[in-house]
Order: sequence, then structure tokens, then C-alpha cells
Amino acid sequence: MAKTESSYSPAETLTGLILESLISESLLSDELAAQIATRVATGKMQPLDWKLTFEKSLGLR
Amino acid sequence: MLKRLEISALRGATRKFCIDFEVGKKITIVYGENGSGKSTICDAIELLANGKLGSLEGKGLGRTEGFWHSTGAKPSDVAVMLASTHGQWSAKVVRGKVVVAPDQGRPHAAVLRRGQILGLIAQQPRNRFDAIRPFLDIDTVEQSEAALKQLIDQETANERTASARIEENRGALENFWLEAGRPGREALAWARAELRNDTSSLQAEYASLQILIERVDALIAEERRLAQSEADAWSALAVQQTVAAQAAQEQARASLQAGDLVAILQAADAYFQVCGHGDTCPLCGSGERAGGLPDRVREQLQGIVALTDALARLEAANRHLVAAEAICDRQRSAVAVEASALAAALQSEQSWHALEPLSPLVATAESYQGCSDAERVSYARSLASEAGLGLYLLRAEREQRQNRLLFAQTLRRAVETYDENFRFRAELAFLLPRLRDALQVMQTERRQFVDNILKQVASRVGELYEAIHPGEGLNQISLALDPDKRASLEIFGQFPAATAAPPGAYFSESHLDTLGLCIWLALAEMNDPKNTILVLDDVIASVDEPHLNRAVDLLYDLAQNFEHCIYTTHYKPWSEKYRWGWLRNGQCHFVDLGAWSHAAGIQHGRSVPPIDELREVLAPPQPSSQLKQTG
Repeated sequence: MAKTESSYSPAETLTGLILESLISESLLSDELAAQIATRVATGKMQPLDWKLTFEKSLGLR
Repeated sequence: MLKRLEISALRGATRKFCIDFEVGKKITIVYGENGSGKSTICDAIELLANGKLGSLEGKGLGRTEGFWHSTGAKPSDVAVMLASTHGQWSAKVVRGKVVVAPDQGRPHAAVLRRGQILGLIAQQPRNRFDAIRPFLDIDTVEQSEAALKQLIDQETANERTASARIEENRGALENFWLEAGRPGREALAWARAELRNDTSSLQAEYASLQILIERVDALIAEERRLAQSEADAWSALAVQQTVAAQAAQEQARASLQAGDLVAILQAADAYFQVCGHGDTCPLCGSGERAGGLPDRVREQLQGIVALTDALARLEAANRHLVAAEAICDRQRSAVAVEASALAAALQSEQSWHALEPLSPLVATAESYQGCSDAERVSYARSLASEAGLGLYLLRAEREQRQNRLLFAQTLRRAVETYDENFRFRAELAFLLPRLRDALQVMQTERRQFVDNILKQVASRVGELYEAIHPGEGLNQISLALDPDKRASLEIFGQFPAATAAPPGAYFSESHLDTLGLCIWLALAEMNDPKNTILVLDDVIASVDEPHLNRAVDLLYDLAQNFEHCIYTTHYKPWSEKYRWGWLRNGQCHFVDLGAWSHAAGIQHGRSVPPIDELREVLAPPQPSSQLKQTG
């Protein structure tokens, strides 16, 4: 009954698509995207997390 | 596949109720009249799989945990056990929460009730999206998206605040500039130039003036104390002289002997108080007139008390005068010390000598330093007097420098605040458009993702719908998010001469029922069906005979995709079909529920269809095993 471990949940799949787009639009670096992927997919990103991530990515911090 | 379900104290299960699922059959049909306990069976599966009871939701009960247990039972009595070929799980209710053991591999169930079909078809688009939201399973990403939107809202407000503050700062600088007489080209440039000026000499002057003023204040205070102590000493002397004259008068009035006698009488009185009195005089030893001697001594003493008092007051006045003169001496020294300190400070700060109004003070200080010790107090008092006159000037000079320093400080703070707000706004002006771009990316990706899922679902809905309504031309269903509204689902169908029309406008009730069912089945198929228990609670009731047959066939076929399917119905034709063997009885486990009562709870009815009973009766007798062996 449990899901197979190799399959991605819809939230994980959508997160992957979003982060890929953000990287291709040069809004996010690969490294930072990898750091926040789990938090985005699990709904744990807070406004401050987004702020710090984009500030780092855009060289403001 | 499921093996066994046990339900205790949950809603209609006032007594423990069990279903042993027949081996090898993935479909279980639970038939029963209204109120026989069908929904309780669905509730039990949903409680264990999803931790809630969908049958109670949307009935205006608020939190529904308080209504889970059977009447007459306690919430802690609720228990559900489900065994399948994958394992066995138990659910209990502990403090209003469902606790499942083991938690790992907990069964997954998709439970559809008739009310949800109506919700899916007849509700507002927003509520319709909420109905399918659990199947999309992207709530968490939407939470992250909402956090990004919240950040953008916060930073937009911050940008507005920073702009307002910049205007305020600019206004303050303009005011300073105007006060300064509009020097230079414009306020900010002038302010920056002002801040480059060195204020260290100004600070040094201020510190020097502060020291001088403190010295002057200290000298004036000590001189005032000296004047007060001198007045006290004069007063003490006057008192002493008065008291001495009074004592002289008292002494003249008394004889010299009487004066000596006072001492003898006082000694005798003290003696009698300590040692008491015997029969004889303690001085001469005579017993003559010895009786009452202490009383007579006291009487004599009282007679000369005026003289005694006068002598005592004189002694006190003498002591007070000596003390007052000592204080005067100490105060004179203190005045001299403060005068020396002021003179030294004035001498070390030559810059103040140029101030014309201070020249008498400077001259007196120089005289003080050159005077003899005998003249010191007198010169010190002159210096204090001059210092008092010059104090207003020193204070004015200090205030002027203090104001200039404060102005420089305020100007610096204003420029720094302006720069800080300017930097902050510039940073936001760079960041905000990018945050908005990022949100746009998230929204676009989410919308595309959901649209793709909805397209797949719509295509599958069309197939399922065609299976129930073949050839009716109503299978062109589309599901789409409203582009102008967040999380709002539109359903369209194609009808002859009316494309993209809402189904509710043209479909009959039974068509809407089956459409809702098809949408639900297509959604349920999306999310790991092989590990999903599909539960349909009394969802088909309004379709006619041919459509029912096709719907039942469809459900049979779909059941192969799911781990197990439980269909409940109160619809008589299902029972009749089973009774006469027109259902696929070989694949299907039929549970017939009897009438429910509080005393007996949910009851099993007859589960073996009459057609099977008839077949059994009509079947030719089988040869016994012994006959088989012999024959």
C-alpha cells in the first residue's frame, strides 16, 4: 500500500518544474535551488526564507 | 486485497461489526436500506486511512470528533481494525485525534459520497476546485507560493514606507539648510559638506568651559557654606555671651560657700541614691538628726537649682561656640581649595583670557595666586564674587558651543537616515521586480501543471462517460482553471449546437450524477490506484436500468486498477441483479445489511443469493468420495 520510494509526489514534481524555471530565468542559482527544494515541496518556505534565498542568489547578501 | 474489517463503537456500530472479505474478490458490494449502517462502514475505512469522517462534514456540526462514537459509548471506545494482504492496522481515538498503529504503510483510501458528487458538479467553481484539491496533492507547494506572495506584499509596503521616510528626511534637511541661510547649491550637498567639518576643537572648547563652570559653581557653593557657617558662629557667640552673663548673676546671688555646697549636696544625693541611708550621717558618723537626711539634702539642692541650670547652659553654649568656630575654619579651607582650583583652571585655559567680560575674573584669580596665606580667604571670597558675575558669560559660551555640536549631530543623523533609507529603497527596487518575476514563474508553472493534470483527467472522464452513455455525444468534457481566479475550476461539455456550455445547464440529474462519478473515478485513478481502496458510498441512485448496467460494468472493470473497491447502495436494482445472478457474482462479494437497531447495531442480512441457493438445490447429487475411490 505504501508508495514506492522512487516515485515523486505531485508536489515534488511541481517543485522541480518551478525551480528549473527559476534557474533558467536566472532568478535562482542551482545550488540555492537544491537547498530549498524540499522546503518548497513540503510547504515549509516562509517569507523570510524566500527573501534570504533571493538576496543571496542576486548577490545582495 | 482486504481480508477483514472490524468496527466498534463508531457511529451506527453500537455492537462490534465485522466483515470477512471473500478471498480473491476485489469488489465488495454492501447493500442495505437507508439507515442500515452502510455509511458507517465507509466511515470506518476513511477514519483509518484519512483520520476523519467525511459523512459528517458539511452538516453544520463544526468540529465533528465529538460525534464519531456511537450513542451510549465514549470516544475512547471507538476502534477500527483492517486486515489486508499487506498487513493489519488498528485505529483508536485518543483525545479527539485518530491514532493508527502501525503508522507505517497506513492504507490509502479514496472515499466518494453522493454529497461530494453534487459538490463537484453543482457548487461554485471555487468550491469545486476545493473538492478535487486533495487529488492534485500540491497544497504544500501552494503554501510556499503563498509565502512568496506574502513576502512581496511585505516588501512592497516596506518600499512605500522607505519612500515616505526619504521624503521626510529630505524635508528635515531642507529645513536645516533654510535655517543656515541656504548656503551652497542645495540642501543635501551642503549637509554633506557640513559633516566633513572637524568638530574636535569645538568639542574641546565645550569640555573646557564645562570644567570652568563646574569650578565656579563649586567655589560659589563653598563660599555660601562659609558665609552660613560664619553666621552660625556669630549666633553661637551671642548665645554664649548671654548665658555667661546670666550665670554670673546667679553666682553673685549665691555665696562662695553655697557654690561649694552645691558640689557637696550633689555628691551626697548621688550617694544616697546608690547606697541608701542608715541611722547615722555617712560624713560625720553621728546619729543626731540622721533620720530624713536624704530628703533634706534634696530640698537644699532644689533651692540652688537656678544656679546649677545657669552653669549647665553656659557649658553647652561654650561647646556650641567651639564647634561653630571649627566648622568655620574647615569651610575657610574648603573655599581656599576651590579658589585655587578655579585659579589654576583659568590659568591653564589662556583662550578665555581674550574674552573682555571675563578680564576682572582673570585679574582676581592672578591676585589670589599672589596673595599671602593670611589673605587667602579674603581673596578667595573676592574670586567667588567675580566668578558669580562671570558665570552667565561662561554659560552662554558653553550653550553656544553645545548648540553647534547638537546641530552637527542632528544633521549627521538626518543625512545618515536619508542615506540608509535611500539604500534600502534602492535594494528593494532591485529585489522586488525579481520577486514578482519569481511569483509569476511559480503561478505559471502551477497553472500549467494543474491544467495538464486536468486535461488528462478530462480525457479519462470522456472515456468513462462514453462507457456509461455510449453514442450520446456527451463525452467532450473539459476541465479548466479559471484564468482570472485562483483555484477555481470550470467544467464544460460540448452539446449539439452549444459548445463549451456548463453541464448543469443541459444535463439531466442522472447525467450529472454519472459525470460527477466519472470525474471522481478519473481523479482517484491518478494517485497510485494499485495501493488505493476505492469506496463509493451510495453514489448511483438516479440512473435508469440500461445506464445502471453500464455503470456497474464500468465499476467492475475499474476495480481491477485499484487495490480493493467497496460500493455501498440502497438502490434495489443492484440487489435484484445480484439476487438473480445478473451481477458478476464470481468476482463480487455481496454484503446484505439487515435492519439496524440500537440494541443490535449493524446486522448482516442474507449474503448468499437465491439463484445460488436454487442452483445448489437443482444440482445433481455428487457422488461421495468413497464412491469416487471405488468407482
